[in-house]
Amino acid sequence: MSGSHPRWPLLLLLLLAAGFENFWLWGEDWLLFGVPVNLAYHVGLCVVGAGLLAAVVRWGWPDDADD
Amino acid sequence: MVLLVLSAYLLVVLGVGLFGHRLFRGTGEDYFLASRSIGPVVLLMTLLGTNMTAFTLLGASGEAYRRGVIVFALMGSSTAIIVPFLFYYLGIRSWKLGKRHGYVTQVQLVRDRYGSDGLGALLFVVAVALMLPYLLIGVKGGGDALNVLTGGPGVGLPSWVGSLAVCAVTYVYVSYGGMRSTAWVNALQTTVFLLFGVAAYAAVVSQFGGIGAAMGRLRTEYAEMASFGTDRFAFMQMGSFLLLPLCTGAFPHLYSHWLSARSARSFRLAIVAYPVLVAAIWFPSVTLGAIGRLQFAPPLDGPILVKLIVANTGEILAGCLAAGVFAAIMSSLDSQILALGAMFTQDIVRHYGFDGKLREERQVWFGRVFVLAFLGLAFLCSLVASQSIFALGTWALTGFAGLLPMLAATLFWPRATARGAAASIVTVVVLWVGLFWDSLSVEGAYSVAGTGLMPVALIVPASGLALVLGSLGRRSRSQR
Repeated sequence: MSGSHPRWPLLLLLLLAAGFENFWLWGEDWLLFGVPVNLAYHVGLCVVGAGLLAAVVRWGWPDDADD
Repeated sequence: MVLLVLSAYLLVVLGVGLFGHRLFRGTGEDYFLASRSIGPVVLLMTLLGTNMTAFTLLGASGEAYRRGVIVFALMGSSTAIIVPFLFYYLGIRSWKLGKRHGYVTQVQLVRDRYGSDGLGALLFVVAVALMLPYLLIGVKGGGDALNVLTGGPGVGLPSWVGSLAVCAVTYVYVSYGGMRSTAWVNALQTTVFLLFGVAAYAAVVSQFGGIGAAMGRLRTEYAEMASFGTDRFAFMQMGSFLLLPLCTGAFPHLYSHWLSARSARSFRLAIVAYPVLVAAIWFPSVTLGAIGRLQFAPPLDGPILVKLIVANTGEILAGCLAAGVFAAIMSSLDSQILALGAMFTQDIVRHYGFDGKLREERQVWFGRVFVLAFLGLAFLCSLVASQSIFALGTWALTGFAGLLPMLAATLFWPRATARGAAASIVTVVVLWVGLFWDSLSVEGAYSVAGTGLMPVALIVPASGLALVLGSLGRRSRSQR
């Protein structure tokens, strides 16, 4: 039951997971777009995640997914 | 007015659910999986609705009231990042194998893959044991929310009224229409609590002079709530919480929704849109909870979101809040009881009682009986449940996350063996029981040895290690 999914999307997942740990900002409380910078950063991370997942769906879709 | 708006909403839910029954084909596959016919939009909304519980509206805002904006990262963005990848890898693969082999439950997949009845039975027992407290959160949460919205303890409606309403409405549409009604109603309910979030956010924030002004005050008066903190506890927590959303990949009810998809391509919209929609739900919940601190000093005598709405808006929006809370609860509860009904019907009754052969209409009949039995059990438990049951519910997520390595290996690792899979499940059970026992002696938030490391960060790697070590030295069934 080995899969036909490519492995490079896992690298994107690791990239997002690394971005999740934004420790360089954790102590900051200044506002960006009206909200604390850490909150703005994590909302941005969700948007970037959606963009990367769109790339996964476009270029990493398993050939035999619907077989 | 609250009751009027809520009653109108419940009638609409029933109407949509009963309409789903008109397309019912009378087969077991149609009852449990809507004949694998769910398209991209309904699949997205139902996956989102199933995964967003009352905790998202009431729990997250309450936690943000205590801890500040870090709650968005701990539970919101971690979910937004991890879960779509679970859809991409596990969801598509599960759908494909489910369609090819006619699976309805995870246990059928595991039994087939490893050729082990005992392993299937072990997974069944553990999954059902973890599911029941998780299910109870919704039933009890509905009762408590309605009580607070109608005046609070001693004044408002007793908690059992709300719990009974949640159970009764959910039973009617799940029983009549099965997965199709569940999916359609979930799509409606997800829309309701998305719209509610936006409406509540706009109404309350305007009272504070806009989000920038509110957050500026929060930064001045409670600076620690506007940052994430830099201590070791926060560091360990941020790492741990990234693992908790793995539970989504092991939920039996999410597995059922994956299998209900019309095609693998139906997953595409859910994979791409999920992170943004999760952020859209969590952002208002967390920001409202945090700025609630500016208006209400601790200790609170009710959910902060409810108090903000009642204090800053009118009764109609309070009624919408009740509808939003019920939507969040029922959109998870329906899927959970349907999945439990499917597991009992397929994995126990059909497998052991009828040698795998059970007439279609009898499958539907058993499904309805089990759905009723589980809801009745959950309602009765909600009458005697204490706060510790809620804590047990959050532990259930940790247990499910621990099952993920075994389920992922079942789908993707040909060398995984029945012995390795069993070792993985047993490791989860032993660690879960041990850590839970340890947590009983700790006041407040629990972490492993007080380090900030959540139990999930220990259980998931240990489960994976047990799987690998247990699979070494033997040829797996698929290798043979």
